[in-house]
Amino acid sequence: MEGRVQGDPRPTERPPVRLTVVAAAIFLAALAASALLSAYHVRGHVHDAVARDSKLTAAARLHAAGDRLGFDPAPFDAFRARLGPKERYAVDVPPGAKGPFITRGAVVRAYAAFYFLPAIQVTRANQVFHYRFR
Amino acid sequence: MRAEALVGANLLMLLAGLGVLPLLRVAHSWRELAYRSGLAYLCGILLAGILSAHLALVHVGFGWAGLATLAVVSLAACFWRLRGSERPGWARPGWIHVAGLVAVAAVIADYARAFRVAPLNRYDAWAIWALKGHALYAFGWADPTVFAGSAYRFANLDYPLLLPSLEAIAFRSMGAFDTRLIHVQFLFLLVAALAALFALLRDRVPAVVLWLSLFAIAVAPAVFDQLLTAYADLPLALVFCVGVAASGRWLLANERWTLAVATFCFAGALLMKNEGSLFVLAVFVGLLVVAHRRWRALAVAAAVDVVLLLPWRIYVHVHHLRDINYSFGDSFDYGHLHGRLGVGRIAFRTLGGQMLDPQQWGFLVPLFAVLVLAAFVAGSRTLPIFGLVWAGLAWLGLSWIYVISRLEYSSYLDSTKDRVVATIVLGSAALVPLLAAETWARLNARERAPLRSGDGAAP
Repeated sequence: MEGRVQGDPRPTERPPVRLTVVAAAIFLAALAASALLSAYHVRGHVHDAVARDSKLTAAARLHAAGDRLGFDPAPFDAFRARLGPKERYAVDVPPGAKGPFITRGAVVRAYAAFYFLPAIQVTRANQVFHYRFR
Repeated sequence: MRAEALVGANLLMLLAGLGVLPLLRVAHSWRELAYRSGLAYLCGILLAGILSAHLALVHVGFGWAGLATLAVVSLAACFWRLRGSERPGWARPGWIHVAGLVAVAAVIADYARAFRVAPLNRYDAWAIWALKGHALYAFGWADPTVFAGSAYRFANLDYPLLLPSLEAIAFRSMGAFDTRLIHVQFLFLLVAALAALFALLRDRVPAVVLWLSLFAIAVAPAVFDQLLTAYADLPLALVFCVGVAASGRWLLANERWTLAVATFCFAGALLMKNEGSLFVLAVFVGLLVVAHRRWRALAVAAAVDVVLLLPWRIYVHVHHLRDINYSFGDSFDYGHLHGRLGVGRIAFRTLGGQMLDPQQWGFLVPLFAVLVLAAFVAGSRTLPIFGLVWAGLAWLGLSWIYVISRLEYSSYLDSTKDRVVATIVLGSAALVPLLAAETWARLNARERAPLRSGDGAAP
């Protein structure tokens, strides 16, 4: 073989452990570790979500967004019962406390827009939803 | 019955997607159609979503009849195109594929327990997405009394309608505004994206790397948590990451169908959320940097995406809708920017920290970074440069949004930092298998013989 002294006892084959194989093994181990770490964490998240949400009643589910905001559902339900599809209504609510982006009153308007659909929120209308913070 | 109806609607989307694959040149024969059928579900969802979003602008509702017509027309075109072509044969799947499929299916089944009982209680989910989905379902179209009404300005009216349209399709198929089962539609999006990634990468990547990557994406806690909120960020990330994987494959192999799939996914991203424009712009810049000689194909792809976005932009223009959070025009407002430039550095660092959070994303981004480095060392240029350019631009662009926004930056950053990075993380993760396979091939080749510089496909 070129470059080798005759009788050289060194082996002629490649090193038994190739660098690429070592690198590939490390990569696969890191990828597997990522998956296992995530799987470990996400199992708890799934368990918590199922335990928390599977017990919700139909009413709790209906009011879930409002409950999260701390709104009293009664006035919303009462007003919704009076509204027909595409009926125009306005919202009368004080500005309330200022949040990081919008006021508490603006959140009520947004929630009313969601909750009263398919009735349509406008600036002025005969039907007016009054809401006051306790 | 509602759950069955939702599954039925999704089956029709799957059939529509199957039919559209030959039109995208993904399959030239029945055999290829079977081999790449994993792309069908996502393509079907995007096709139905884009179509219904556009039809909503011209007073046309899209429900069972629309879905059935779309599926029949698409399948008829498919049969016509593939008539007489090679039939699929049966090959026994390897044990790694079986094990990977079982593992991912088990994860999805576990997630389904949570998605089928989740309440719709997160602000953006009800105030933006479900509100619009409900309005499309109730009125049959994007009625300007709601979609351009001043009382609904809080609902980010300038955000495009793909996600609300998908929600509206789900509500119409279920026959009710079901705030519980709508979450299952979001889980179906994860299934569609994972299947699409599998179909895109299965013949380019070793099975063990592919399945470990898909599993790592599926079980990332942020994927579960954010998908369960019914926000648009994770759906955007899922659609976009398939486009990134298709782009990566196109760079390496120069197959036209992969660019077609990428273009379709990027159209979906553009119509999902305004931030989609930033990510799609970043990815096209990345593609142009490394494949400038293929600029004609890229120009056509970009033009198709712009055309698909155009109807919505016209609607936005006609109704004078504006982004309530920020305007890129403020990038040139020195008076506003003066004193806020430091926000960019803070946002950049904060978003970076979010992407690296192992309790949210595992090691997806560190693995991407290491593989980019390894690919460079191995002599690859195209894929790592593409990854670096688009991810870097997207990261910078997201940070810039906090600089130009009129909102108080710390609250804005705190309330959005964990989810806006989803697209960068999943886009990077989608390149991990391709980068690994490319690096492995190059290192092996280098061990066997001295390697020429440059990549396989022409830039």
